[in-house]
Amino acid sequence: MTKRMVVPPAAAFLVVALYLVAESFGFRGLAAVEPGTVSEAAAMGHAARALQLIAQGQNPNEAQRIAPGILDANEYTLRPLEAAVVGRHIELVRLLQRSGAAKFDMARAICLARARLPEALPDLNAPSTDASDSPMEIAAAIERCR
Amino acid sequence: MHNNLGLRYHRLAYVYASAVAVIMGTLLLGIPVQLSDSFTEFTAMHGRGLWEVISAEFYNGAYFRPFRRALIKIVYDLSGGHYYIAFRGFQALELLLLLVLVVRMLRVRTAAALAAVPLGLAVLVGMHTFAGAVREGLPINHFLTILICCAGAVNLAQAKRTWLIDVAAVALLVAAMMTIESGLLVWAIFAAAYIVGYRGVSRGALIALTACVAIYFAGRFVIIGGAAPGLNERSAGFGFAVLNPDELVRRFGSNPLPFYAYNIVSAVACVLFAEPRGGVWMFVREVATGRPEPWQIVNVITSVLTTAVMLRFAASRIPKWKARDFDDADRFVIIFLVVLPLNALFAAAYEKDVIMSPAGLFYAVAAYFAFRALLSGSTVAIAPAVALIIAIGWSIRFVGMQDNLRARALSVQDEWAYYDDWAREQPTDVHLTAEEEVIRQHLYDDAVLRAPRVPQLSLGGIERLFDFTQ
Repeated sequence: MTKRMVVPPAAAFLVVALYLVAESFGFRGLAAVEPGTVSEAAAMGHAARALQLIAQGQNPNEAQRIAPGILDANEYTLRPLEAAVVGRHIELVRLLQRSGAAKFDMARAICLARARLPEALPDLNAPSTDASDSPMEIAAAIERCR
Repeated sequence: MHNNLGLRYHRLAYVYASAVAVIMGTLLLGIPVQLSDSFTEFTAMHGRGLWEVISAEFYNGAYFRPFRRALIKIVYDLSGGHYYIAFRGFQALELLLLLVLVVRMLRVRTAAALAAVPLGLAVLVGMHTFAGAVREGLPINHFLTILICCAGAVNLAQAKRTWLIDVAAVALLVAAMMTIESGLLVWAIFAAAYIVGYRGVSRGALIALTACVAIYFAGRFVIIGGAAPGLNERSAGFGFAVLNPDELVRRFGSNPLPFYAYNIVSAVACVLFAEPRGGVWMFVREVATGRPEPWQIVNVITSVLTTAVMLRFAASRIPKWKARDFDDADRFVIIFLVVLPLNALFAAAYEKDVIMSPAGLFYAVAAYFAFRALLSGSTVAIAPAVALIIAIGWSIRFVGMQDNLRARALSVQDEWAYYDDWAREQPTDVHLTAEEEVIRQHLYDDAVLRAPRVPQLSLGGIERLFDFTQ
């Protein structure tokens, strides 16, 4: 009985403690993908990380690589605003616009918004007619708006 | 020899509790000062003296919390502008103090008592009512402060009686009830502890404590003229959904008593069965639609089984209770049974899990003693299986709380990133003075630009076992 009641919580504590210690030495075995570009942060909806990377000097208007596993299994190259649209993060679309993401291919952004995030169309000064009722698959949307 | 061994077990329990506090404290230090329910506290502190801050709270309508603001003001002034480290550091220290006080009141003296400590602390930390006491900054979490007062009250009641203990008891009660309303529970804890035989606080002091409570009610409701919170102040859970203030007024405006009764019953059930949550029967709703989340299953099964073990333990002790023959285990179970319904009264206006955190604290302590009894041997055939399920369930909830704190760091950073949206959504326009703008920029930079990125974990679906709803 003692083992049954003591081992699970003690083991849980040890796992958490050891991982925290290992993490302090740089171990990232169980770490989720950390966005390395503004576009990756935008695709994941990590607003603070996006602003952090912009403050560090990354260009919010530049097309950047998005690693496989972030949007889907494929690798993409998108501007931050496009990535936020494809990732379906409407607040982040607006935040990026306020944070200097003003130079983008408007036609492509509108096309992506129609396919993935119609709510963003007014923010792109586009009418919300002909928008998809349900979001299109990511790969298909990007292919269509190439 | 026996005493030395007992002391060693007790010290090991302290070491374990401190290690848990250090782990959680490390994660707490990764969470910036939050924007919601916190930033306005900073602007309210700026340019005002301590007495000014306290006295302004005396006429704050439905809420009477002068010490809460006073504590924020003190830490604010001591921070020297390093708000992030000062406030999160303070919260980490509060957590350490709480766990040390809890272990102190367990009076671990045997191997079996020590063996039950990891599970007891897993219940305390993994309890859904506890999450709000650590996840939220506010910027000082008054629920965590009240938990310390509750644990402090038991420690005083267990101490050797001196006049200093009596004075400390009165000071503790006054501080607690002027921090938030549920601080009044400290009086109930002193009274219950006295009744079950903890006599560190004298009878005279108990009378003085009762007088303090009477003065509180007279002062608050007769002299100051405060009122209970109305239905129109916030949304609240009812049945299977959350009702907005207009809906609440429409349904219960003419007679709110059924709604209050519902909240009280829900609050009690929330502690015992992890359902309903925030007044909403989420698990029942999801089961009815056939889609309960894994974390809901873990929470409900673990809590139901733990409550069953505790109730069975309590039932076996009733003959002893009738003879007024109490040991520590009996005393804590009885204190829990006293605190639970009284705590629920504070959730009458609206049920929120963290309001029940004092009852959650004593639930964990009572469960610890029930586990201890189980470890000493049980004749029930299914006991080993139940023990294993309970231990695994609470271990998952303990680990989930750590992951929850990691997620919280990320959400607070993102909350600050959207400061403009937050300001726009406030019921009144946010106009900051130049000095307040400096504070805002400082907190924003702390959260968005300077805060360390707490690595989020990817556990391949195991996260679905963790409760992130608080």
